[in-house]
Amino acid sequence: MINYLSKIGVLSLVGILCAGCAEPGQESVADATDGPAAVQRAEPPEGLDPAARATWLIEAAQAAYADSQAAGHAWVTASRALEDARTAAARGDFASAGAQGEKALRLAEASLAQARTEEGAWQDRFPKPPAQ
Amino acid sequence: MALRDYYAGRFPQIALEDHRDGVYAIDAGAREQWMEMEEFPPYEFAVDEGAELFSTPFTSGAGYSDCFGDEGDVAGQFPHFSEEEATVVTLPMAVNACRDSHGEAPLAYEGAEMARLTAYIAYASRGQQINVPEPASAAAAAAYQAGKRFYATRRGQLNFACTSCHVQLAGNRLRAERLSASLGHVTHWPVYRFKWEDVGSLHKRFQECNSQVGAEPFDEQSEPYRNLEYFLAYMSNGLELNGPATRK
Repeated sequence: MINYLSKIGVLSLVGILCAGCAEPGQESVADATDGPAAVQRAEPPEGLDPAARATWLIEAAQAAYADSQAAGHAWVTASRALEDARTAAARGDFASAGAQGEKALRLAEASLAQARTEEGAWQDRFPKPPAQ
Repeated sequence: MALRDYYAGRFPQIALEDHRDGVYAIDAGAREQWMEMEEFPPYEFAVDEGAELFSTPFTSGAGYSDCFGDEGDVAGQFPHFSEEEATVVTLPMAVNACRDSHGEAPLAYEGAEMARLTAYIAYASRGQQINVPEPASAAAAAAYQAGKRFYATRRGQLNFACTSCHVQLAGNRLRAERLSASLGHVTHWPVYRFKWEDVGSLHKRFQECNSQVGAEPFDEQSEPYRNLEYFLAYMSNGLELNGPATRK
């Protein structure tokens, strides 16, 4: 969790540092896009025991990660979290497996949101020709 | 060519042709260090080894010179869009096509032998100008557009596109490094990179950029990277090829 929060902190810092760097008519480097495009947030059913919950999260994360790969937007962090979840599950540490599986799932969902947002957003990243 | 006009406005003191030197056209201090490195260029061994590989005959008795001429000075012909194959063809692909046509197994795109061969061909091709023809078919235009889209698409958890660093922030610093303009990104490959301690390809650098922003990289010579190379090369039309080169 600390690692995750530190990453959010770094992202925020990059955003602050880069704000105002953009050329007129362009978004700034770290502009969040207009908010992530809608991606269904998957939630495990309630009442599952830790092993079943971890298994559900890992499978959901794997499916979302495969979708992000197909879209060409897979994230390294999602892949690592998924691998960590599988490793923890293999050694029977289902609390850790569940936590890492959920992290992998949220990261993969975020990467899918990025893919959807970028469907159109990329076109605004080129300098505009001067007005005639 | 709004992108070229943008760089002309952003770096008015730099002539278009000087962008072939990448960040060393922008940063005087780094250029001075680079010029000193060029006195004993670390890619020299790769060029020599590549020359030897180039002149070593295949099992059939034929050789690379049957595909690329005796000098091997063909880097200026790549990348190009092949209407016949309906895809962007790069120099490493042409090397493997040559091998295949003479019954040799393909080289690994990320391997040392490919890096050395292309280092030699780049050296033999120095002084040629990038001259990528305007896409002449719907398929070529689609490949160009795909490369352009890749270039501007944010990826990875850090949510960066190529344009983030090399358009919007070109010339600024990212930590200790000056960010280069995209013009000239394709002129000087393969490159001896001190970080790699070896000569490596443009696509290896693409992979590194993608990884640095937290995106899963694509394979060398994958379609997305070839399309990106095609777009970047078209943007750099008219610039002189000056590979191989040295980078930090």
